[in-house]
Amino acid sequence: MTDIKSLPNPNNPEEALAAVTSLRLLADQLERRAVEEAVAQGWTWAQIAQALDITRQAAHKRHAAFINKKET
Amino acid sequence: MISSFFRNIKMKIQDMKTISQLCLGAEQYAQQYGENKPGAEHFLLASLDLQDGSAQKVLAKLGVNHIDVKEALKAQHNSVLASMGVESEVMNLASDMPKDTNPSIALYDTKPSGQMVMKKLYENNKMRKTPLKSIHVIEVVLSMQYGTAIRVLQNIGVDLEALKKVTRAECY
Repeated sequence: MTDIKSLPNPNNPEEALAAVTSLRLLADQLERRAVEEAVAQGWTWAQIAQALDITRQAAHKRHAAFINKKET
Repeated sequence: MISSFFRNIKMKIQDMKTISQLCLGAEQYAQQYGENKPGAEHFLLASLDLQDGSAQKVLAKLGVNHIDVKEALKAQHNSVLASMGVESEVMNLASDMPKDTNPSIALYDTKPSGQMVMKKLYENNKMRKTPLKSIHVIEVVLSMQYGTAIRVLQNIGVDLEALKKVTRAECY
């Protein structure tokens, strides 16, 4: 998954912005999976927030509903 | 006069049902494709499932199978990532998303492209005298210049100008 060999040239904004969309989706999904695993391992929302460099409220708002939904 | 009034009420009720099905379908597609909120591309897929079948028909006129559109969305992000040498597939990470079998439209939230679809459907609906159909979603998606929904259609070789022309002819 790592090892980005070549990024599209920003001079071609259509291709470059499509790449941004796909990378963002991949990053969002990776974040969701990692947070889910962190919660399963007993991390607190404060620890998750610190690791993501966002506020605890933001981390909770972004992921708690997803994790709760998955548990039900 | 009275019959026209009741016809309008009946049409509004029918439109509300269609919008409800469209929104629920788009939300389910978004979840299936690993996203929190539906975008225009998920509304496009959901329109292909609506019972009136007009969206499927208009694509078929250009020789496009609606199943190809669904497959193209799966391939879209992965091919872009692959072109950058990123081997992971977004769908693999999405595979264990929770399956919400009863998404709520009471708290309906979409990506900006999804908001645009809903806004334009509403605006067009005010001018239209016929019930909302799936082809009207295609019409709205085709009014966009960029974004995943348009790229999906382009990636399966849809001639956007031809599709616009056929859609316009069917809508009006």
